[in-house]
Amino acid sequence: MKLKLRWPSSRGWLFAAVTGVAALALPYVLDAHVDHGFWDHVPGWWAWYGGLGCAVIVVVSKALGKAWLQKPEDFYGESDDAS
Amino acid sequence: MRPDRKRHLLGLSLVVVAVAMLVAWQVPGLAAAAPQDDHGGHGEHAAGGDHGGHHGRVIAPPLHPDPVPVKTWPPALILIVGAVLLPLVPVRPLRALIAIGLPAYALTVIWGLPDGARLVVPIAGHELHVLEADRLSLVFGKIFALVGVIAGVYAFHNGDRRQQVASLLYNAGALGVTFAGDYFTLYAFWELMAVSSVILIWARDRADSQRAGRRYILVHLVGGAVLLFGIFLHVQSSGSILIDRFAPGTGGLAAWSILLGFCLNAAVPPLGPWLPDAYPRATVTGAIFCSALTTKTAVYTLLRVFPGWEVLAVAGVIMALYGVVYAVLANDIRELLAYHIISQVGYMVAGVGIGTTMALNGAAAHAVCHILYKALLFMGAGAVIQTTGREKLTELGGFWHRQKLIFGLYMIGAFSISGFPLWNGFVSKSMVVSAAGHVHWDWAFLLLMLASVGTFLHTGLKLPYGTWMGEDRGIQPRRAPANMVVAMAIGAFFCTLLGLAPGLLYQYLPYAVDWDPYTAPHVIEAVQLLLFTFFAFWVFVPMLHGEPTISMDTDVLYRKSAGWARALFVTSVGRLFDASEVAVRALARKVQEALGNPVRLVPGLRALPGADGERYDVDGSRLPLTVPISLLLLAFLLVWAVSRWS
Repeated sequence: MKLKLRWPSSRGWLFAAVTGVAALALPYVLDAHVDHGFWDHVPGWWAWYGGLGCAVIVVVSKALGKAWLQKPEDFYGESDDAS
Repeated sequence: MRPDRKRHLLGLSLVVVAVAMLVAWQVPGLAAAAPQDDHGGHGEHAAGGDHGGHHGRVIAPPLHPDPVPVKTWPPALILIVGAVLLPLVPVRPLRALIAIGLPAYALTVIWGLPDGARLVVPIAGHELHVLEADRLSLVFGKIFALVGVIAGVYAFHNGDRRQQVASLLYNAGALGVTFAGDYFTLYAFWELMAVSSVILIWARDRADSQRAGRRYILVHLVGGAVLLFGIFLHVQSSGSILIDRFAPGTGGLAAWSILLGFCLNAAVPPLGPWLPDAYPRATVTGAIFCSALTTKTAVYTLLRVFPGWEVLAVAGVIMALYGVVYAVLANDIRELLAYHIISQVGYMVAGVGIGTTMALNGAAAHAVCHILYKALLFMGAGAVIQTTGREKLTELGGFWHRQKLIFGLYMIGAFSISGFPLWNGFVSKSMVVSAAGHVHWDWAFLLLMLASVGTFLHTGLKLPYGTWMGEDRGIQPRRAPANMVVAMAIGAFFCTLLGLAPGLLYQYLPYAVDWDPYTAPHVIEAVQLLLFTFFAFWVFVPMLHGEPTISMDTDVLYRKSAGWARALFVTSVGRLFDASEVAVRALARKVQEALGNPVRLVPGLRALPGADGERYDVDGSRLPLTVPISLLLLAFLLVWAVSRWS
């Protein structure tokens, strides 16, 4: 499996920076803190979790697919477009 | 060893190790070590009764409202009678209107049922509880009837009598199971669902739909047989046909068989490959009923019979992630949505497994919300198929500006399923996830949050991006029938309404609700999670294009082995019959030859002139006239002698 990524444009960077920083700052601005587990002590935990979780889901699923699960469309000896 | 087989082994062992680690690491472990304080809980309000006690987890008490005898028609019967009479209506729009009106009427009947309503019909020495309503069955009954109305509007333009009758019967099956108070009623409607839903797959009239439908019905009949086996065992051991809870871990083989039957319909892996196999091949309108009814009926039965079974919590979390992995690989848009049914039903199954009042409320609420937004998503995908004739990501893209309204309505469904604040998924999903937090099952909490990252990634980003945006392939979609858009708008309305005013949903849930999803920390958590998922999607988008492949699921076990099974049960039996026929014919020929001239078989007679031929020759084998005359005389003498003697 090859890692193919798209680097955002400068406008994309700007958008990401503004919204990302705003989202990360929200808990401090609104002083909304909770303590339900270790994760609530990690600053911006849910941002990390969303971003890295998404990356892990894509990479692991694609790797599983390439190594094992993905098969040609006629794998079961029948075409899907049969009518 | 062949490299292919090596890969299979490696993949399988990875999955087994992962599952074993999950099971070994958790279920009793962290829960037992969990502090028994009451700070825990994810959210500002802890549902009463969720804390303290065994493992910090108190299973919600069963609902046993005081019975109120009623004399109304069971909602399922209304639909069945309607389905029987419907094909006789000659006017097409009128037929379509009736197909909408019947579930609407059933909905009003359900709305009028009091908590505890009961209708008992004595049949063959048994009392069948054909209608038993409590707060759990009422909320499911209402949503099943409501989605019947919405899907009916969506199918208004479709005059196919088969599909109209099948959808009504299918809806009747779901309502029958929901209000069944005894196992026999439940089983009858369970099978009605299987045989009517398969019509909606076959009605697409394509060869692959025929094949998928055959697999679908076979799998469901096997599942039904396992369920029936469990019911027999249960009735034999308990002496009662009434449906009641099994306390976690009790009930032995009967409970496990019933659980297995329910789990097959809930599409719990590895029993679930029938769902992504069949639903993408159903008709455009039929798939809406499929997406709403079978799995959610199974969730309802699990909620009724198996709350608090920890194995379901593990299974639910695995399901939630399993659907996500396959959705990355899916190319067919409705297959992607189908895998996300499995993922979303995972939350509900996990809720059943957690078993607290909050978790059961969450599972029921999520079922309601899921039925609404998943129907909306399937309606969006169906509209794409209807207007473009294409259903694969590799063939779609770049026409959102030519289909803005459908695209927009789909996105409301996508925001709902992804748990965006303001939409219904945010309310119901967080109830289940927070219920895991409340009982300090941190593993379930974190993994379910990870699955919701995957949900947004696929249903909210990959599918709409690949279908409507991305590369412009010059697709000019036809106009979608107005009724399709209206049905989508109704779905979108309810998704938004329940998101903005969750109290409307709370009042119908089985237990009292004390949960406010709109707290600052919870909203911020959702915003951060979804925003950064979006960023990661943006970077990874080149890896998320559709690929012209299919994904191997556990149905490989019965689809690939079909050749061997045919060799064993069809070809070899055929050969045996052929060989026996040849042998029997050869034997018959020998007998015929041997008996062609029986005279030859008697050594003394063979010497007669002309008696040795292949065939019996009357003249050649005839005895001289003296022989019969002598025999006749001899007989006469014998008779005379005997008569004299006596």
